[in-house]
Amino acid sequence: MVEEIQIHHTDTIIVNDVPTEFYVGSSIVLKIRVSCSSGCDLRSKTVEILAQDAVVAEVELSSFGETGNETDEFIVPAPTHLGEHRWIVVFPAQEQEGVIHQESSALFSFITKPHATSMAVWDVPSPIALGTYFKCKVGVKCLSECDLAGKTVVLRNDKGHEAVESLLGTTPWTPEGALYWTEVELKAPDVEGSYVWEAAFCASDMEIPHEDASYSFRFRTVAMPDHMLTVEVVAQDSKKPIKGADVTLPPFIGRTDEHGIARFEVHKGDYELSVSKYEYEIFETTLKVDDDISFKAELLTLYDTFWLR
Amino acid sequence: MSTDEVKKHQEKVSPMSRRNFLKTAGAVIGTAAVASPLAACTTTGQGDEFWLPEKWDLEADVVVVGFGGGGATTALAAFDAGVEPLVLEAAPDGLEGGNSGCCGGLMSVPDSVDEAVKHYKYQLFGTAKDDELLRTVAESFQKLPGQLEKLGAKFTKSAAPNPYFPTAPGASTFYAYRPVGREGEPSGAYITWRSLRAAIDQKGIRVMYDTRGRELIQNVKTKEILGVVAEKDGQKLYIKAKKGVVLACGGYELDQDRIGWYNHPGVKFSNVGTPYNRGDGVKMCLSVNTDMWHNVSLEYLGYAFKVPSDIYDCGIGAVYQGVLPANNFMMVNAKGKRFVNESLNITHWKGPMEVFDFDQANADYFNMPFWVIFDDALYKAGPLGSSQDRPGPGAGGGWGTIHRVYDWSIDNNKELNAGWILKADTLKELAGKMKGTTPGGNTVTADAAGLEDAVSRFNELVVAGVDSDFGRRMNGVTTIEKPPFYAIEVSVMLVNTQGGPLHNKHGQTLDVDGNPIPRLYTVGELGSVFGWLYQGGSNFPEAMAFGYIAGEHASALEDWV
Ligand SMILES: Cc1cc2nc3c(=O)[nH]c(=O)nc-3n(C[C@H](O)[C@H](O)[C@H](O)COP(=O)(O)OP(=O)(O)OC[C@H]3O[C@@H](n4cnc5c(N)ncnc54)[C@H](O)[C@@H]3O)c2cc1C
Ligand SMILES: [Zn+2]
Ligand SMILES: [Zn+2]
Repeated sequence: MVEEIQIHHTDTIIVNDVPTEFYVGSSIVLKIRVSCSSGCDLRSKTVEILAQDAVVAEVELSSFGETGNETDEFIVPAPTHLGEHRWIVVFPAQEQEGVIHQESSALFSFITKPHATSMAVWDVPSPIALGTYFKCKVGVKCLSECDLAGKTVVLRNDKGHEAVESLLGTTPWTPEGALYWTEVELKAPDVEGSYVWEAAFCASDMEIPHEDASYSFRFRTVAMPDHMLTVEVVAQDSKKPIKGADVTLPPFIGRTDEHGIARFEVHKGDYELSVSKYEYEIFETTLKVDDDISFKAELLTLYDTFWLR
Repeated sequence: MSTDEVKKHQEKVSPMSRRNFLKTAGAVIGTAAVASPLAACTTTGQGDEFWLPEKWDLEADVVVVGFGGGGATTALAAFDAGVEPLVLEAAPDGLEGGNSGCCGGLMSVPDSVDEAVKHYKYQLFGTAKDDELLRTVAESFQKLPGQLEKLGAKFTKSAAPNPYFPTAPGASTFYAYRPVGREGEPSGAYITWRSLRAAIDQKGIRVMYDTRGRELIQNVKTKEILGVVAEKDGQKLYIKAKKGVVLACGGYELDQDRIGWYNHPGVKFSNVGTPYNRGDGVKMCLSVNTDMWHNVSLEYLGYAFKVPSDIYDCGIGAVYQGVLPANNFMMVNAKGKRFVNESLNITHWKGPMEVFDFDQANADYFNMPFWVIFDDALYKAGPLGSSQDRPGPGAGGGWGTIHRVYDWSIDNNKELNAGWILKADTLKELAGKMKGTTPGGNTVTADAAGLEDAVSRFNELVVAGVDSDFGRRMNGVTTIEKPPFYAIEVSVMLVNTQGGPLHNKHGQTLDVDGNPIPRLYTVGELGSVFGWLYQGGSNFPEAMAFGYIAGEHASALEDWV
């Protein structure tokens, strides 16, 4: 008697939505379903993920139900090079006890893109006295949180000339973050004005592709200070010091301490002083600075705070 | 109420029938509960008087809907006139008081009636038709501090004029009266409210809490308002008002439909006042053919943090320059761009209309959703929101603070962990986390390059000391530069609605022909006499002054039965 061979068609699909773009090396999440035309239980059989003839993963069908057989959700790393990729999920043909399950497959394609990077520059003093050295911090972050310790950042002045080069340190700015940073020292221009400088990160020496990044930051230069201005802020009614009042003396900005004091090193000249604090009226005056001077600002309590009426 | 007072009151109501007398006494004993002696009222509703219910569940001389400032003084006036008020309040006991119980409580009182009328008229842009009404406003405001002081309230009067619109005609006649509480208490209307509530309780005036007025009962021939259908515990109560009904149930702040129909469709506001003003008064008035004015008029009050405000149905946080613990913040739309002067928002205004700018090409709003952006310097400078123990913005007012709706954490970490505050190492990364929905229903993510540009430009302006882009006051504003960076989605805070039914100088509600609807009164925020421009310091007194007026007027009417 000739053994009867049965042929069952199969169908393979990707159950989850797969994006069409991945960062290089990032996780591709997949869940595969294989169904048989006769509704067979195919658990313990495997599906393969093929990329240009290489098998990148082999995963077992782990559940069986009305809709067919499914794998658990699993992760395959995206390629670490840039490009367009066409991957195939294959359920290979197999025979068992007189039943042939035919091969079936599903195709999906995606592109890999470089890791996104971004930068920040901070603790930039402003204003800065002409021609003096100042420090600030520069950081770079890979959105995929790669370790960037030892990578190079460059700072350029407004003319595009390199002002300094520095290597990122080993400890991220915040413990839970991935912003790698370094402190740099720069020399301020000799001319008074507002400046836009740029910090840049060049990714060409990274093992896996990353985007370049840059960030512009601004500061202002002023003439060398020659006097100390002390502003004391008190409440007009109680004469008590006001802590945390904002004192501006453009381009200088300060805040009073617990004694109601803010100090500024300034160059002689006329300044528009303004002091503000919530629940007080704004205090404004013009100040002539031609010596080390102290100035007392008495703030009037607002009768009402606008917030409530 | 002492026995003496009860007697005096009974004397005043002497022409009353024996049945009425019993009821008054019953009210004293039964206090604020649903007074059962009233339940056995006459049956009606047959024949051609089809508008009458089959049975009245309760009755009173003057039925007052809403126990805020307007409702309280209406009831006091009725009581003092020797008739019997009954107050229906939608909120539970303790959460009554409405906006009147949680507002700033500042009262703007004129020295000269003539000057005040000029001032009010000016701000109504020719829409005010009734000078008598405006005169009554000014006159009644002058009486109000004295009336309230009799109830135990205290005020200080500003030494100098304190007008809300200083350049408008007549401005210099307005002085501000601020409530004075116990030692160390921040000023606020809750102080005045304490006196009003105490007076009501002390006189034994009946207040039914958790009772929401829903419909008016009208004699369709004479147009008289005969009573109210209220809702309590899912039951309908038919309440007879023998003399009149006074609607003092506030605006439609929480009526999302009407906010959308009358104002900015699709925009969800964060309400800073009571969550119980749900537009029931407007609906009841519409059903009896009243005329309405200035329904488009909303009063805003800066910006709240959107997500918690939605969760608690109450404005949480306040994005104000000088109120946030530091000033290095800015607001941006989904393009990452600034669009508004962030320092203007400390006052109530009709001016932040940039928020509502409409993008014709895309049939959606330009600037919503929007976010406040700041850096680690601000995050570490102190709590971004307030709590009762640590009063921040609006310590003496706002539903959230007065009723302790939410206590913000000192280090902001609780709110960060809750996902209300977004955090990222760089601005570009932050933009990727700023996802929101436009009023048109489109999902958007902030533009990273736009945000980096905008922050860079902002920092340039800070360094220059002048905001030549939006005219922001730059006092104490520093750069946004220190990572990590943060964003919080914000929403416009809503103080109250100004529009609604028109009324005359007695508080009588007007129909579309300008005639009073017999036995119906509307007071306070439900159709403010100031209609278009919110008159800071005039809304709270308006409610109370017209409560007194309407209460007295209604009490003088003959019973309709
Ligand atoms: C934060 C804030 C600050 C403000 N500051 C000031 C200020 O300093 N000075 C000033 O003049 N104005 C101020 N206002 C405005 C002022 O508070 C209001 O205009 C005024 O108090 C309104 O009084 P009212 O009696 O009409 O309404 P409310 O005081 O709001 O009272 C309405 C009452 O009706 C109840 N209610 C609602 N619907 C029903 C129903 N269907 N049945 C029964 N009861 C119902 C509500 O629960 C509420 O208790 C402020 C408002 C807010 C929100
Ligand atoms: Zn099969
Ligand atoms: Zn990376």
